[in-house]
Amino acid sequence: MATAARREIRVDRNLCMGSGQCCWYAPNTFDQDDETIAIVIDQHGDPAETIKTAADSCPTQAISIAEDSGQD
Amino acid sequence: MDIDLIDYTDPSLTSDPYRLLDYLAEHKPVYLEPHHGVVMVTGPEEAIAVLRAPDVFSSATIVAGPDPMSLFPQRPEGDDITEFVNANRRYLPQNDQIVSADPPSHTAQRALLMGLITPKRLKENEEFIWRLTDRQLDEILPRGTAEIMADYAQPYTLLVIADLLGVPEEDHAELLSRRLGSQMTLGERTAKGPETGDRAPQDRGDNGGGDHGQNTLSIFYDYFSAKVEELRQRPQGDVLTGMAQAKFPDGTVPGPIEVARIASNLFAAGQETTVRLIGTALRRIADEPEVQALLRAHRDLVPRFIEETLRTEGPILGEYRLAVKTTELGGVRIPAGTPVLLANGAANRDPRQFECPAEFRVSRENVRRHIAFGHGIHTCPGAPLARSEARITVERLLDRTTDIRINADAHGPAGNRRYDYMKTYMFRGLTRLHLDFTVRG
Repeated sequence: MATAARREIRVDRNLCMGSGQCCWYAPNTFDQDDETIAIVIDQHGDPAETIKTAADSCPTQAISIAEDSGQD
Repeated sequence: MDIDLIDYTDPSLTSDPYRLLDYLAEHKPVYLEPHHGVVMVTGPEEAIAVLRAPDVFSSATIVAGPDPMSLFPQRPEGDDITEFVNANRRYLPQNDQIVSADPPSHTAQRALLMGLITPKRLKENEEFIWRLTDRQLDEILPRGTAEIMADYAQPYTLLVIADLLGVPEEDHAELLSRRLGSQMTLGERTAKGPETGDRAPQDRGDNGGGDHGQNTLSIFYDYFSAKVEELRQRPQGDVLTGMAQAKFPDGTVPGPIEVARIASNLFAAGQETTVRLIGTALRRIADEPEVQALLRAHRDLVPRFIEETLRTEGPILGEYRLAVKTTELGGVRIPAGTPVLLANGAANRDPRQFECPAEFRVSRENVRRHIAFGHGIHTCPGAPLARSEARITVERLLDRTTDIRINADAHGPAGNRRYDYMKTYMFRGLTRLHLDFTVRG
């Protein structure tokens, strides 16, 4: 199965500027903590494309997505 | 209303710009207005589409006014004028500032700021903002009354950004006098009406660099260039040191002037907008006792209160883009060369996104879903700082007073207030705000 079963989304807390734009695109994947820094609430909260859009849209490029192809 | 009769640049609209903007957001999210041939983008989805396509909608004309084409020596033709615009940026105002840059130049400049003004860093150093807040409140609270913009917000935002950048206190007066001695900063320039295009480029002041477009922040460049060179020799713990040590994404070291331009923007342009945000927030607290009571009782709502202030009445009403490729948006064909007014202040009040959008509701679930700080690559890098300054100001003011009121002598009685707003369609902000305080005993 070649789905993104082993996705790992990471937010670099040193880079995140709290713009909240990731939550805009992928609200079921990202949220903001009390300091407005982005957090991942569900690695698979939204379709892969949507999560990629959210990561690409980050003004400070603080989001990275590591995907395992699924061949274990 | 017959929308075609209204010229959005009419200064008489500045007391209530939202009548026009709210109408457009609801009925004509993309509107080719007939007075200047500007495409006004007021719908949130359409605004975001523009902000996400810098290759189609260039920031080159961000403060160039409704007729940027008149600033160029000739008019470009064709459905893709990207190369023409890139070759002629020197004719446009603020052409050496990051706000008017497009990728890849923008990407390189922005890299110098990465990770320097973040919620994490500000939280770790929050004590310094609290200290400066109290220091400036000490100036106004004992009097029991103050004009907030000049007596608090202006000096306060200067203290904070200077401290963050590492500008020593003995230099504040000099930088202030440079600023007052110049015609205007970026914010003040647009406040008086952006370049209107009613004069030929050669009539404009030349900044000495052979450019025709003005770069009004150049008054600070030599100061910050010298600072950058100094900090490269003797690094400190401040943001300017971080910028001085940052490299471009390709690994090259920026020249001191390249860092100085961005530092000047942080120093001057960011201040002005934060001043307006603080004024608008405090007007709301002083004018609406129920909002003040709510915040006094539930201090944890202050961040949401700031967001709702940004959403309903953020400091930026709009800024320009230039269509450099022929395109279509919201069913409207936009030929290359068309000026676009991106109306952040309207997009944040779209009834499809926000129920009763004109109403101030701290409890809105989607209170953060606004574009007051922009969206995409140009998202305001100072946003975390502006949020902190506004929040801590409100918190300390509530801590140190039992009541905050509008001064009726200056603004009239409740129900019949008079406020003066900046006479510009690009910014929303009070020119002055007189408040009275009952200081906690």
